[in-house]
Amino acid sequence: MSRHWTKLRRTKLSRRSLLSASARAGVGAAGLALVGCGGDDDDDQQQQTVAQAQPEQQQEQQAMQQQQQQQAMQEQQAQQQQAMQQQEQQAEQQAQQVEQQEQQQQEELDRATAQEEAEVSEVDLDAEIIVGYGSFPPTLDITTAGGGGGQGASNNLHFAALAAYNSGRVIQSEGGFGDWEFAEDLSSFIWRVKEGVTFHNGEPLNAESIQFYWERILGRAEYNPDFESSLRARAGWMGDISIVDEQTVSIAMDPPFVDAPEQSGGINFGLLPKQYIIDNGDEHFANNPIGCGAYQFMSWIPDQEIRSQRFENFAFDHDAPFQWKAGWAKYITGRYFPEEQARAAALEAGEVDIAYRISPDVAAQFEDRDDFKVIALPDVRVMALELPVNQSLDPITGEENPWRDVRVRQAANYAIDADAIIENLLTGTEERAYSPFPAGYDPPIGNLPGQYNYDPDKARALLEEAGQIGFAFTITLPTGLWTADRIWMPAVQQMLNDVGFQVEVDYADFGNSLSLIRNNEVPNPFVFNQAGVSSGAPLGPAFAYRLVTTVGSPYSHAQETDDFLPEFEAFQALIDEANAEFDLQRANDLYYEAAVISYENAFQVPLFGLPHLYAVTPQILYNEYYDTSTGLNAIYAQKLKA
Amino acid sequence: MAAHLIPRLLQSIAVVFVVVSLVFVGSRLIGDPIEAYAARNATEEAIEAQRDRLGLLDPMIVQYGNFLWGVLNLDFGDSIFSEQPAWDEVSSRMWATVQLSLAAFVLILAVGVPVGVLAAIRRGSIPDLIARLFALVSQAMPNFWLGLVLIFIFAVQLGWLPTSGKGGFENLILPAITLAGFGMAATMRLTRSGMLEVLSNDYIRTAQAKGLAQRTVIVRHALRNALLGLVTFLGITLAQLLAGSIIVEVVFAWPGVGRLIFRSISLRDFPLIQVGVLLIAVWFVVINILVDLSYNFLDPRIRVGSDA
Repeated sequence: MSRHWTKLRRTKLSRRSLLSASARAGVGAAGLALVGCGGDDDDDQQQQTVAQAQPEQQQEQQAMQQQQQQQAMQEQQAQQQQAMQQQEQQAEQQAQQVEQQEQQQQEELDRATAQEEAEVSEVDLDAEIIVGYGSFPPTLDITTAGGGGGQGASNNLHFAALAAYNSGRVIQSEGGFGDWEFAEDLSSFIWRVKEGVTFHNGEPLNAESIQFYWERILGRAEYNPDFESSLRARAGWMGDISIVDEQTVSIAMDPPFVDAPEQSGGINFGLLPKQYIIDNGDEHFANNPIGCGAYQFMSWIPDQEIRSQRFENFAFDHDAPFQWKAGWAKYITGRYFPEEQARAAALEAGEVDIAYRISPDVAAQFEDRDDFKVIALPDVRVMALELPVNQSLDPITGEENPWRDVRVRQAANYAIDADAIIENLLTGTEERAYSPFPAGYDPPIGNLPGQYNYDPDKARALLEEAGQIGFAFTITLPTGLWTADRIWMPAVQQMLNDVGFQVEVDYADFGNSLSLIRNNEVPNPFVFNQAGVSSGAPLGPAFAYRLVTTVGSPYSHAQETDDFLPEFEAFQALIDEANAEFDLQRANDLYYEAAVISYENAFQVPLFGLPHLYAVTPQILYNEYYDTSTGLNAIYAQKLKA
Repeated sequence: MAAHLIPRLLQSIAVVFVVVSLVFVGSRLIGDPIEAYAARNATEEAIEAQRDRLGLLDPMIVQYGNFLWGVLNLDFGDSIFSEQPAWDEVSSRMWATVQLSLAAFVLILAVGVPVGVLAAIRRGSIPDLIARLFALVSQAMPNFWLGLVLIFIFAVQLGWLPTSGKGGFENLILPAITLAGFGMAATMRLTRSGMLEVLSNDYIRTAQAKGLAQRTVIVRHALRNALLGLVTFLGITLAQLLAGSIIVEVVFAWPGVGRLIFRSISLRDFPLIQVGVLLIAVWFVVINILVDLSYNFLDPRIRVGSDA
């Protein structure tokens, strides 16, 4: 069983490796200096040749001078060597200290996880786990707009999708519900589903059922062509859907669509039973859902409670790969507590086992207590300040857009001490971001030269050099969804002001600002959580850059008609090429190349990844984590025997 | 009576019409619902198709005409998010809100009026001081905060009552107290001041001089007259309880109309917002009419005036 935190530790960039590298770089530099001194020796030989033609006295004097010079040089060399050795020793000592610290942390982590592992045998398989959620779906049909929002309380439990995420991008995976392939000429996309899988009502999962499933989303199903699915836009790439054999379906593509696996079997595409829907209708289904997920629906009191029972005929066991794992607790009950403090109070009062997604200040109430514990799971997205680099004129002042100057953008990057915000204002578990990729992305973007670490003097100097001291602008922050948004944003604002910017923050309603950003109606910088990629994912950026601020991404300043900077044009070209690339490794390389351009040109100011926080009773163990945006999945939660 | 009632009813219909029209306009000012729920990677064509399906591409006047026709037929369309009929969505939660509002109203009457009377007849005494202090604190406390404090004390610390949710009678106690907090205090103060005013009148002294029992003087002569001013306030309070239960419903996870409207506003679910606000407007109007009618029974002078 994989453990998220162990995984995170393993994928983190080792500080020892960085320090060793810098020590080696120091040695290299000193070596170069020595080679330079060697060059002086060559000069000495030339001088000696000339000296033979001169009088002896002069030769003696020169010899003495040379001797003195040589001695001085030797002393200098010795000093340099000594300093170099000292530097190397210091770096080595530092590296050793860091390694010791890391070993110590790893040992502590191992001890903790070993303890949890030992306790797994004590899992109560007849338990009921009650989860207090902050949001509840208005309907339980996963394919509708309202039902799509019910991930935690309903969708994760009741429905299973064909594909799984293991690296930020949907892939066909061994042992899952099926596998997929593109036709050689890319004219069609083929899904083969596993035999012997049934829905909760006993209906088989086969080619007919998944054909019906997509036809229903597309409004082509005969039983109700008027059915409106919020997934229709995503499935718009699908041409004719034909049954190849009992378990195989082919979807025509024109043009070839690289995201076909995700946009037909991704997390929102939970499978549904054909006959049940035809017999009972959409409304009945929306109130009494049937899927083939790890838990089957029992009852629902709208806006209050959803009860589910472990599906004993689920197609997979606890050791199945990725998200396809059998549930532990016999019952899972989701209860709705829209108010966060009330959710926390319900945990305190023993009414729930898990308080779902709480803010850092509420989490602080449960930290360091024996009767509760806090679980922090990293988000797959990174908070970033998006800069409007693609407009030649500032839309507010009508003058030249200061963000076109890379020095101004870099100044904004150097100005913000993200580490201090994490340490002092947030929980300390957040990951500092250097790019749209979370810290664990491999190869780590943090390895790029010239990281924009906090350097207010440099920021001010850059701003001065660009002639932009006093540059006034407004940052739009959509509020209400992201953890502690009104806590860290004032700090970001102050840090920018400290180096010479004049920043105002517009704390905007989330829904409204979302639509304004989407319609390219926010000309000023705005904060958004971009990208999304698994920690340690080998092919991570493939998913990440779909949401990054490029033309075609939903939350971007970039528009087709914009006056692009040449660097941005190069960046955009790479993204476009990667988005259409079927070879994942090649796409990954292109994304990385684009990331380097983005980073060097400071197209945005990456801040940090905000974790999702949960408070739980000590009886709850949670070892599984998959890097999707769904957060804690109650299927994998274990409740220990009393 | 009829001459009084008919113009009042016509006036009320006009009020409802204006409110409904304002809701129609207001709900379209808060933003485009499709933007709130369209998939992140939805194409512009797909978004337009969804707007078309919901009639959002029609001219505003056409949308307004369709909306009014729907109101007359009690057909408000389907909720954008749940895709269930909006009327069903709201009406299925109505009873929970009415239940909570009535419980709070009973508390207001049961606590506010007697305590107000007691404070008035024992003016300056310790019970009067305590009652006034209670009123001051209750009115100063925001109800979401009062709710959380009550949850902390009675559910978390003492474990006597559940924190939230709708279940048995015990689930109703904390939200009802929270919702009634302000109203209880205001009722107490109004009753007290009304009683003090009435108690200083000559006819009260006359009644006392006639040797009537103190209880009879207080209940039949003083309280009945003091209530006249209170009735208007109680009427408005009852209407406000229904409309103002949003915060309490959110804090206590009470599945009523208030919370539905709250969520609908954030999701820009027009049909639900329109039904919810329409119901509240109608509720206000009905309560106002009932208050007007109650004057006829409480004050013979009004009854005589209207009969004439």
